[in-house]
Amino acid sequence: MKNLFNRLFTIISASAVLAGFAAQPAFAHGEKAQEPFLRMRTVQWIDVAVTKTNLAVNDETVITGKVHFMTNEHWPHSAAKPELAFLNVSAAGPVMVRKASFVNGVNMVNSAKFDLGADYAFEIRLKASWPGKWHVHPMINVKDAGPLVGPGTWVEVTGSHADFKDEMKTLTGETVNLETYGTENNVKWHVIWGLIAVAWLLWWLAKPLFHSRYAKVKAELGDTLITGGDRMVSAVVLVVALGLTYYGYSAAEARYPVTLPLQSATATIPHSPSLVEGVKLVLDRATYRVPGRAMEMDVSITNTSSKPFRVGEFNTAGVRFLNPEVGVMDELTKQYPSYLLAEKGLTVSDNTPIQPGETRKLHLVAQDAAWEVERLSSLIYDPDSRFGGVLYMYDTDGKRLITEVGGTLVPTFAGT
Amino acid sequence: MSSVASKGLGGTAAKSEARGLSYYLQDLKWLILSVVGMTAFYSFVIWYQRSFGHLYGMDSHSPEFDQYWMKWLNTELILEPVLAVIVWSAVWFTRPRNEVASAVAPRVEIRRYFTFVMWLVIYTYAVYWGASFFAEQDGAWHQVVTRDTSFTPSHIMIFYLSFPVYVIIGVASVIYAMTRLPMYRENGVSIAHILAIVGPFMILPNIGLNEWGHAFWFMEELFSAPLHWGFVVLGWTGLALGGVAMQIVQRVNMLLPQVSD
Amino acid sequence: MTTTTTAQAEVAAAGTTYVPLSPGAERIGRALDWVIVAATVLVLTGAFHLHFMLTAGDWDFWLDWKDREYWIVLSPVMAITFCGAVHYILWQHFRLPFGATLCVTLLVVAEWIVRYVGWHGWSHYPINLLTPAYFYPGALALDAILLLSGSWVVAGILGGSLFGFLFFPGNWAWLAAYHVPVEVNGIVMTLADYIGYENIRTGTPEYIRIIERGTLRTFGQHSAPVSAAFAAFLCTLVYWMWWFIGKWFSNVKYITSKGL
Repeated sequence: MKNLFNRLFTIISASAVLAGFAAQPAFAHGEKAQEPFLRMRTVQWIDVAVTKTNLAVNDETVITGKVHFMTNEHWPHSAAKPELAFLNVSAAGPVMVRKASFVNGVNMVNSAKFDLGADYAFEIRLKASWPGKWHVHPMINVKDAGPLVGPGTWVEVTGSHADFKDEMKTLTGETVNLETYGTENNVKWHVIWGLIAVAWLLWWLAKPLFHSRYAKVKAELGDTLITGGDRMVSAVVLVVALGLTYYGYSAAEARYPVTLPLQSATATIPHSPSLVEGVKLVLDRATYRVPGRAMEMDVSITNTSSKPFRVGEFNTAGVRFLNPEVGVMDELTKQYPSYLLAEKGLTVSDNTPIQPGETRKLHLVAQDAAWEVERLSSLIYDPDSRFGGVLYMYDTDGKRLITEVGGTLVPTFAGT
Repeated sequence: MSSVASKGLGGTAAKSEARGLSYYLQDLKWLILSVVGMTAFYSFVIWYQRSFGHLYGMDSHSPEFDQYWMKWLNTELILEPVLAVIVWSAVWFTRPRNEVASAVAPRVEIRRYFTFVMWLVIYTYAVYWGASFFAEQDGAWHQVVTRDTSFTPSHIMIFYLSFPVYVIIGVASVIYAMTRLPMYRENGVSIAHILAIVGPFMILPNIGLNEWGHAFWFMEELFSAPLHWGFVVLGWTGLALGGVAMQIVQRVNMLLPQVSD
Repeated sequence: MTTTTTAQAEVAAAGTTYVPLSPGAERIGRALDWVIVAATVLVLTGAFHLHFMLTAGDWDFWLDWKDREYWIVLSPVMAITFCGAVHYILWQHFRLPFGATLCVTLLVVAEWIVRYVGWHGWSHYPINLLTPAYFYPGALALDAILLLSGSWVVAGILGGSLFGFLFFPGNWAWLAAYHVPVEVNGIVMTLADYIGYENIRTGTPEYIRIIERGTLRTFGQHSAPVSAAFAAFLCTLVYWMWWFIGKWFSNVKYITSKGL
């Protein structure tokens, strides 16, 4: 019982102390709870960047990046293929409104089919609406597979929502503020009809309701309960219901002579050049060492490009394990969310360049607390213990080549 | 007759009548207190959700989530059975004993029907919070998160708080009816009353279907998805209170001619 | 204090004749009326709102779901259910014809409360995206026709039809404004589509909208009236069905504890 009171006290006192912090940041949106196989083997987010992270209300920011859909070999059997998917945003609701979004230059107001193994460049333009510190992720919803969430970035919005303006010109020449457009008219119609309904209800509620009426109905005197006044009021109500409906409809038609049905096309997206090129990879064995929070991969990599390259990074589920020997800390990487960046997370057994045409066996170790923090290590408890991801190679000109890696994963526990 | 009734009701009735409140409305103060109390409590719950939902309720794996939400959940899961035992025991142990159902004075019985319907008012008010407000508000929550856990800041309040609360009150109303009302003591169990209590109660275990569906089947939040229809069908049983109302009206209509005030 | 004999009371209860109550007893009955009304209002609000939100709620929540094919049909069909059941109880036993209006008023009030406090207040969605549809025109007509005809069959045919048929034109009074076209980066949308697109919903990707995806050509320009007519037909059937569901739920039967 003491424990119970302690809990209650904690809740109530914590509530009181933190009451003033209601507009503080959210930490995540539940993405970490998604099964690791879903996050590792479906899409890989590449070069995600946000143009501006400190905004005033009404300012705009743009999220850009690329997304690689894993090939059929790695895409989970239990997840639906992206026959219909939608480029979305994971944020705390419409704290930022989405002004536009594009995939490979195609307007993504609609959903579209995406191809396995293909790469897509995306762009999402957001406008700050509510002040606060918000964690914003790009996201792809795949029909029947669910949301696939990309890396999140903190965006801080200052100012007041009361100043938010979201104007747009219609094709009929009217400029409207989308945030408030029509609201007054909606409320007006609800109130008008609501008052009529309440008046009708009051007409009846003013009479004795149950007991005497029941007794009369039971005594087959029910017809005497309906008075001439009741009939008159009912007739009036019927006429008003029909008349006001007709008036409301006609007035709306006159006010808005040009209207369209809801639009519901699907988009068609052209392919962009594949990011996956110049490398052939065969996974020999992969293990996850639970105590060390390290994934180890034995791979055979063949250089099918024209220049020597080295392995620079392993990227999965938005977590980037960098090989510090290869040096890939570019501007985009510096801005990458630190909680998803393992700067020294990748160790490669041989960092000498792999020559064109050469096949080399390598032992890779991707080690970081992120396996635990991002709950990717729970992969070993999935019903399908397979992993997926992409490896980045950098050739002697600094050009990046990407290849998929994935397969079964064998856990090693303490003492084994 | 009134003297019999007064004896049956004890001294409280005389005091209330002295204050101008009719004997049958004596328990109105408890109803008002319950409604005000429940309104205040759920207002606090809404405030708590607003204050700590987005702040600490988005990531079920964070320590803050554990502190602010799982502790709340654990607390309510402990308190609710305790509350149930207290409320049900209170109704049970205060029942009239050694009373012959057919000998209950009309005024006493009438007053009990008022009290019974007041139990139903607070029951239906609790149903309102669970089935209407928190149920639809759950949709508002799901639109701003990725489905994370069965124990979200929204679910903790709707499924594991507002539902058990109305179940506790609903069962109490059954105990009240079965122990006080001659109609139910003599005729047996009212099908309508049991439906109106058991149906909404079954919404609680039906959460299993909901969570199973969302775990294996449907990631998005489509309210009209079939995995929610169990809630719908069980919600229909609320209509059975119409049958209860009919039973009350029929019985009170037999009693009213026997009293003048 | 007894004004009638027990025998008279039994005669009254048996329903063979009507015996007026004393003014004092009338007052008691009237007081009980109000307590029953309170419970009725609350249970209908909870049960009907739950039923409606989980069968047609998605179309009601969002401005960009209010289409010509599904919204116009599903909403009134799902709404007339409780109207039929409550009509049975209130009309058959009490000759009170306001059941439909009562149901739809409680539904809309409950919706406004949670739309404002929950959807807008907690999740920041604008009110225009969340405005619920109303069923007042059809419900008022249905109630009035039940009273004027005194027949559940006629109420089903005429009133049920009007309930379904008036839904779309009744709501078009406020909804039309959102179907004005806009151009968004080379694509034509309605304002409703764009307001829905702008306001990020993690749980409602665009493809999940169950809306009209195109019509057969014949009725291309008259989709809404066609849907309204279908809704009218279905509403009649559903009204009758739920009239009997109301009858079943309002039974006054008992079962012995051994039977449980």
